[in-house]
Amino acid sequence: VSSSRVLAVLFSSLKLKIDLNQVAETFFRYSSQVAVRGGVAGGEGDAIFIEVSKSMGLYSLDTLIHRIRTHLTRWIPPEEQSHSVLWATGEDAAVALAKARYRKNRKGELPVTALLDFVSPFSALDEKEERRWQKKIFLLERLGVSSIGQFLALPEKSMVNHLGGEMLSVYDAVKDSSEVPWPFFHPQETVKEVLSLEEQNVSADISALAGLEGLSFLIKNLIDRVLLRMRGRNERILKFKLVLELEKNSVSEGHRAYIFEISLPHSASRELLTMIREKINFDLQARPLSGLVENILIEVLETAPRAIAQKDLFHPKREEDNEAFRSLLSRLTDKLGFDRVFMAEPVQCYLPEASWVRTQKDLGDDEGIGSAVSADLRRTKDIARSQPLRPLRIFKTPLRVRSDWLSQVEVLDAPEVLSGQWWDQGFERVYFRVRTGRGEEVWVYRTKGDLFIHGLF
Amino acid sequence: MLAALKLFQIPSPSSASQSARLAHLRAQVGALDGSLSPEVHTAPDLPVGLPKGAVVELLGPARYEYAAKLLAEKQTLSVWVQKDLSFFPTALLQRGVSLERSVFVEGGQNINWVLKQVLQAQIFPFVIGEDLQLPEKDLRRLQLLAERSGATLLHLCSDYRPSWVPMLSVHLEHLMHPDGSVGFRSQILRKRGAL
Repeated sequence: VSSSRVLAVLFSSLKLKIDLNQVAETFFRYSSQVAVRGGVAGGEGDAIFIEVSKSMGLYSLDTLIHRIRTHLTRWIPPEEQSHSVLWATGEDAAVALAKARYRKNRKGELPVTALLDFVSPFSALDEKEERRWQKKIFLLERLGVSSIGQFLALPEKSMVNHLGGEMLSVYDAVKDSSEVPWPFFHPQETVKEVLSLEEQNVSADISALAGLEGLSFLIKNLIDRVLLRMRGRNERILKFKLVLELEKNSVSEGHRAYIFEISLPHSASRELLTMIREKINFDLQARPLSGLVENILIEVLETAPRAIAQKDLFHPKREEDNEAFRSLLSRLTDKLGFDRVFMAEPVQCYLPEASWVRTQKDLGDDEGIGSAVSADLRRTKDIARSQPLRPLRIFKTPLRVRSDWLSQVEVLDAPEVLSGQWWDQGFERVYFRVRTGRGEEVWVYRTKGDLFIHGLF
Repeated sequence: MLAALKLFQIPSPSSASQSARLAHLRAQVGALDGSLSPEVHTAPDLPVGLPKGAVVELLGPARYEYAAKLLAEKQTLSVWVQKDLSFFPTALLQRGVSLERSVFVEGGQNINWVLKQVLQAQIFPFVIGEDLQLPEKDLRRLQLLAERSGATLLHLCSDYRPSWVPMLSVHLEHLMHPDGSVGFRSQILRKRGAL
């Protein structure tokens, strides 16, 4: 294991076409060094390489492979993985690839045909080049060299004279190719996942899928893929689009799109699925689909950086609560709107109704809350010192009353004069705390001779 | 149980002694059945406390101040749900309620749905609703959700409307103590089980 620096995941004879660049994004969470050989897996020889030596402090090789295998199930079903996905580790990419391809545990046991992988580990050779190298390998085989071990036993000094300069450079690569530079891996610009129901052999008729249940099962898989890619990018979802593409016919509407805006960034598929189910269920009850679903697409439209936090092993519920809180806020804002679900933050303003603003923020961890509470208490003390107690409820539009109403109630405190904002028309109000005949305490103010009820204690 | 059956044969339950007996028997039945002995939050000026996982009605002129004082003491997560917002966050902050732990929701016509969502989230120990004009059936559903989540739904009501849903209905008034401090005078209008 100590010499295993690279993990190669080799794909062969896949039934489904998958974009390996999308899958490779998810492996960023384990290593910053990822490379893709080929692109769309389906043929022989496409592979993903992961430089795992840096992750060994966090995961054992078995755990890492298990995790990667679990991620892969979102794209390739486990039963297909068993015969279409090959794994191997090696000291460099070429060795790992060759070990996976020929299912050998030691470099020396590899057949001499594995030299092709040492010639170009990160991309397949074109046909002409491959034929040229196969001729050279055939020559080696005729000389009795059938394995990489035997190849390495050839005298290096006479290599150029007998087999040419190219073979010497391959010889060096077989000896140690750890210095071969890795190609730069570019993650795709947008995170977009499509699921073709036809490819998945799923009946596209929603009714045949027992309503939304079957559909949401497929959507769940798509969300998992999207979230795995987001996790690899170290980002969270803020806004995404879900599109149901329908079969094309004269009555079909073509597609139906749903936009989801999330108030706080999300990373749990369960919560996102709840939101999706609720919205689609409601919509489908009102407007059934006019055709059969062919494809389901999810595209992430806005993201937020993912806060790097250590997993709290001692208080796992705190993390769950935070996720549940984000999910609740998202569901509420999705239905009611951003301005109707909020937290409040005090601001410096003499006008009472403008002394706070609406905001949305995460709960944060307990330390965060602790410091926030102490900040709150500081603010509380400041405000309590500077202002008389305000009523717990105020009217959005103050209620105008007769100007002699004040004489019919009991005035409890000395009047408080509030004025300011001279730069914006300005205001001057004289506030009174009064008690009505029914025992209710009311906050009233007089301005320019008129009397208004502003709030209730 | 026999005693309880006999209760139904009482000809005039309106008389004071019979009402007292009825209340006593209810308390006894509740005490025998462990499920009817709810966990409670300690609450200011309310010796019985506030049951967890229940709907509690707060009535009277001091109901808002009482809710604010309770939340200021608990320093816990809370949701303030109204049809249209009238709660004044600055005033809550003055009374010591943490705005970092308070969420405000203007539910409009969807107030019932909002409360269901909030209770289903199971993360808020206190949910505060104001004058929920909901049918008994919906209130009963909210009560079940509160039970499941362990949350206390404080229903601030302007009028007392007899209902089977609240576990506790309390009328609250301001009380000036001889030392000048302000407290609350609480009068229990109705309680259920062995509270």
